[in-house]
Amino acid sequence: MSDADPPPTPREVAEAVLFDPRQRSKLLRYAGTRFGIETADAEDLLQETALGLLRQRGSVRNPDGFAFATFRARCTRFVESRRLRRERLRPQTEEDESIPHEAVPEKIDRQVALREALNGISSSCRRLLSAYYIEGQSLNEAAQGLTLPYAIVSRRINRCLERLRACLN
Amino acid sequence: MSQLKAPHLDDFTLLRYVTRDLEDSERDEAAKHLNGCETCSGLLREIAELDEELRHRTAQGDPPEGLEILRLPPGDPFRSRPPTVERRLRRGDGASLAAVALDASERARPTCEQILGATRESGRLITLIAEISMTDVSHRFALLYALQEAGRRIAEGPVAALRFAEEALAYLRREPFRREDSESEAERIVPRLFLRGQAHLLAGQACNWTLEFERAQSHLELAYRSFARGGGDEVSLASVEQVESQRRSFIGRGREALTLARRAAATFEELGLQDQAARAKAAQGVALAGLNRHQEAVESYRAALLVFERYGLWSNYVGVLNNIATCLTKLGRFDDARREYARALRRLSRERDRSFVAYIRHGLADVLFAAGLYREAAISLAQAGRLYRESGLPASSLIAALFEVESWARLGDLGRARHRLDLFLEAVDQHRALDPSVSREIEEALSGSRPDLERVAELRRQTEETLRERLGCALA
Repeated sequence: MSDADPPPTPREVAEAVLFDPRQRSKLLRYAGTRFGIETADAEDLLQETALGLLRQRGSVRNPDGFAFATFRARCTRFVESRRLRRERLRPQTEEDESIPHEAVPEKIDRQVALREALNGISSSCRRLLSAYYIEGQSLNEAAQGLTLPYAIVSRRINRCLERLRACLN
Repeated sequence: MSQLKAPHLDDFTLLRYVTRDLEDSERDEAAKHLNGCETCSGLLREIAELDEELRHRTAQGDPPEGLEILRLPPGDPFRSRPPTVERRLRRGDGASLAAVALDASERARPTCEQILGATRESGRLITLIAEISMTDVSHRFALLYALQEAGRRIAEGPVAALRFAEEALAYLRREPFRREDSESEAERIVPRLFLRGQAHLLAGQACNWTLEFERAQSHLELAYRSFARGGGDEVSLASVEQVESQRRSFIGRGREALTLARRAAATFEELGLQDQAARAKAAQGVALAGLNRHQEAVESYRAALLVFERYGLWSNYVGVLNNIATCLTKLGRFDDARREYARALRRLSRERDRSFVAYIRHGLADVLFAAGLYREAAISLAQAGRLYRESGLPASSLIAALFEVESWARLGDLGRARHRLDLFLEAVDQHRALDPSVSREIEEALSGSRPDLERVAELRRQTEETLRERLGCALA
């Protein structure tokens, strides 16, 4: 495609997602290798992606990118909801029941230690973790939002994560 | 950004690996390293455990104390994004359903245009909406697209947009919903709840413009809930958060506004929706300015400005430009504010973008006036007034004219101030836009050798409101 070519329209991208065998198999393979989603489920997610694109067609400037990003987000949501469903359905195993009572205070100790450690972390690390766990930003984006040189951000976050990790050991 | 070339993976890279935050190539590289490195695999387990702990407690509504800084208060409907009710397609019939959707989406265009064209004519709008058939997928798309487009054009007429949203809601309430409808093609492609969500969102957005914040609140909460129950996508939920963020900024709840705007911006950026991400950045700027964090606000606005400029979204551009200038003025950086305007004036054409240039000249005059440069302010206002008039914006033109009067008066050039006042009163008379008693009061305040400038300023502000109310004013 040359630089002068106009970007595909939402309709064209939706059509490609639905009917272009190459595009479809690329996305289905992605869902399978990256998320472990079976083809039949991935196909459903593809249809939903196309419908989502059509519902938002007036807002989308880069339909290709949008289709891929929403497909990825739908895959993530699908995997997460499947995990939660499994957890809810999972019967309590003998192993669960055999957890000694001593483990409970130990867990509380760890949580207290974690809370104390969180109170002592640097403000940049706190902002990053808040942005990720509470506001729903991606980690990369949250790190970029700190407006500090990456080397400093990286050093601080690594130090902070190391301390937090130690609380759980 | 990650440390993939180092002998071992660092904690942040491992956390990004666990949370699927790495780019594909980075992820592959990390996976390769993890396969052959026991140390890093061990650390990965610990990081995964930490992530699980933080995530679990946050999901339970009990985020660790250290992270509570930006939490919304308990009971707040926007505290966390509601789980969407999945409306999965029936296996096997997805492709045929999507094919129907493709065709219907195309056929929706003319009806959508008709509805949009009728939004300023109440009678025609009601007739058109009544003709919509909920069993016709293309009609549902037409209504959806018209509601979305009205939201994008909100600055052109918030009152008409509100009327449209309310007519759409009334129609959706009136239309009977039968159990078998839930299985219909139309319902599965554009759910009724999705349409309701969009109509509530438009109503909330319009109420923000008309300063009816409680009414906006109820519409936006209903929009959030409707989108979630209607299987709404993240884009719709983020759009509601962005408008709710603006509402909270207006009512002085800047911290909450900031949280919501950031959440919305993160979603838009993740999905590559640059215009919306820029609008959410602008909403962050409004929140930060409300918190007196003017420098940070300027940074957010500037990020948005670049996108609006790139895509020629001039209405948004001018709005954000004026916000940047307001912040810079508050920081005492008048020259920087002037430079921003000068750059914008070079960017726009006086002929092609007349009304936008008018708003920019008006904004520039605000800065000059605040800096005590009354002559320059008056000249800029005279230019803005003329451009507004040529663009068919009488209220804005009169507002600029009266501001010009005050600028000449503050400069001490009373002769010119009174002459411009005469012209202003003549124009106001033509539009019958002002009560004669108010006109007399302005004349009195400006009379004598020592006019009451504070009274002139007060009357100017009152008159601005009256003119906006009576003549309508499409502000950028």
